[in-house]
Amino acid sequence: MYKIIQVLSLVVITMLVLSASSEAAQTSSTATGVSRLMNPAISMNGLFLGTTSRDNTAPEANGIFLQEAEIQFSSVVDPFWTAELIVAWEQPDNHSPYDTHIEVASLRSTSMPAGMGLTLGKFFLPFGKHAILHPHQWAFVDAPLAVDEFLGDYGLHDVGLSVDMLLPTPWYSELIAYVTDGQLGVFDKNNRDLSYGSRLTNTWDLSMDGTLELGGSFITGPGHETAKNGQKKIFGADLTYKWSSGSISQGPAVNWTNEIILPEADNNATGNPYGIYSHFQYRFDRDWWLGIAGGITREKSIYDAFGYESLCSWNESKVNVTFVPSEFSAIRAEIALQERENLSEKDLKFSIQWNFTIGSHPAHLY
Amino acid sequence: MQFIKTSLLVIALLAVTASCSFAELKVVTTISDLACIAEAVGGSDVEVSLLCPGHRDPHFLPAKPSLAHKMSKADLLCYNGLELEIGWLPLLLNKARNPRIKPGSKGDMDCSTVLEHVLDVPGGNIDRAMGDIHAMGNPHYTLNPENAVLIAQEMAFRMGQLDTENRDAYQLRANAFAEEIAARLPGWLKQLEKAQTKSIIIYHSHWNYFTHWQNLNVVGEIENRPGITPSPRHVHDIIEKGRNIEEVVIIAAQWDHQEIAEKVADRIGAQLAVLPGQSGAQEGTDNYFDFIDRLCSKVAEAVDAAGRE
Repeated sequence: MYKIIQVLSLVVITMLVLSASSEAAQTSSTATGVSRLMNPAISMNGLFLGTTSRDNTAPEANGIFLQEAEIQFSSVVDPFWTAELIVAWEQPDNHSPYDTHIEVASLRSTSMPAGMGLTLGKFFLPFGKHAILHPHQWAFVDAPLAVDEFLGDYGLHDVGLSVDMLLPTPWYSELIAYVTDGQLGVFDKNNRDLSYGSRLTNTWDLSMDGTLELGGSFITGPGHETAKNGQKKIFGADLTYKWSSGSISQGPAVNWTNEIILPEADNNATGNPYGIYSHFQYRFDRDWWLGIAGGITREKSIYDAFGYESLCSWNESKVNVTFVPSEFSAIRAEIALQERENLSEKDLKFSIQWNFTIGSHPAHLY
Repeated sequence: MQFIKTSLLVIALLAVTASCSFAELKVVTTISDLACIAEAVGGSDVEVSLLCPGHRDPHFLPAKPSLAHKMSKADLLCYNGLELEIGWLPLLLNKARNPRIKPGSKGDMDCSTVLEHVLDVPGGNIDRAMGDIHAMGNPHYTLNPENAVLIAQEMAFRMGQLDTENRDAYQLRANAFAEEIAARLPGWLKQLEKAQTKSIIIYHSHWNYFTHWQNLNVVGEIENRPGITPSPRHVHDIIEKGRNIEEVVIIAAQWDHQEIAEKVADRIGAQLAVLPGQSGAQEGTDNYFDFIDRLCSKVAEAVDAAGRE
């Protein structure tokens, strides 16, 4: 009997405490309640990939795996700054452990004068059109070979400072200049020199519904031993046409992006490397997109008997169809062919990719 | 050295020219209904720029850099709010780099704050299984002219704050706008008296403020989950429902997928009224009064035609 009274008393006291703390939580403005309104917007993207290759037996070309998962926090800090944090998990293939890294951890000014902006922290370096995209924004399953080879497979992100401004032109003209730590895969990480870069983007409305964008990019940083003057330099140019029907909501649309990447040749190279690609997407029905892509990448990868590098070309072509039932999920089927010049090497790959977004995800760049 | 000096001088002059504002107050509005109201209130004292032209569905406006360019020079940004522009306005604000219109500044005007009553605020648990719903309620409130009056009054106040010299002129024009609406209201309501006895199927909840204002009887919605293509099952259900009702009128915006609206109208034997989704969406609807005139007259025509069949 005494035991039952003890247990009942405990239950009653617990309920009273819970009730009191719940009331406190509703009126409190600290840990919960009002302060919850100030929490950052949180979202998550998942990108699953099933892929099989006719010619390549490597694990990354065959299997089902999580291509990338990404979690994003964004918020206003105070009247002067906004902040963003993006953490990504990648699985290069289904045998590898997940690789975790911070893609973005940056502050962005909101109060700079004269149409200027300032970004501090770790951010995507604005080079070209593709290297600035998160994988779930890509038009195809893989990055173009040119981007993969010369800028790294998941773009350029580094810690530094970036200043940007709109130029006083009648059209949209944006100039960005940045300096970063130089700790990028394309540079010599053992060298502690900084890297510098800039991008100029010009956009014109060709009609009420069509836009043409012309961009130029440049980045330089500490080069490896064979780099000219110890500096690695990469130049880029891009031309993009976008059109979407204004008369039908989610109606026909075209995105056509072309980009060329020109790394400066090393001292012992026998030619100039370059990479070029063209991505074409067409929305042929409210929920359906067709994608066609082609590219040529001329890279250093063959050594002659004297140890000198020569260049060889890879050609790539891709076709895909994407079903987008809502703004928050998409399923893509893709066939991609890569061919290596001279060596008659080929890789025919078939992929299915599933992409989803949950939470409050910020709008994507145009 | 001379060249560098000259270049620096040119850049400095360009920067000064760019930052100089002319006497006119520069107003940017997101949707064309707000642009019409801003023009009516601001008159020749303001320069109004529009981001989403009338013919485009404001849910899906591409965030073109040229729009950020317009916003970079604005003194006042008037937007619809209630998350109508959530997919593109934050991006444009960032690209515009204009502290005068950033959230919380004097030039930031969320027009939805003037509303006395927001329709369709979802209750209970909400998630995206319900489609791309507006968690703060239905944002298409400019389709009720009574709300336009409230917006005009607030615009006059905000324009007057930024341009004190013309404060009285803004207020006078806002009052004239309200008087014009008041003068036309009886005619608009009378025009749709007959429609109140009919059954209306809407394509999207875009029309809820209009139908609510006109006291129309909405019996169904073709796009039942916003932003998601209606399923064949739902289209079948709405056709079955419509077949059991006499004299049905279907209302769709000109940017909606007409083939679905036409199919439903055809199977039911209903009249389809394709209306301008906002001011300027169809020829002859360039000002707000003409736009509301067109909505009322098109629905009235469809109701008359349904009655004749």
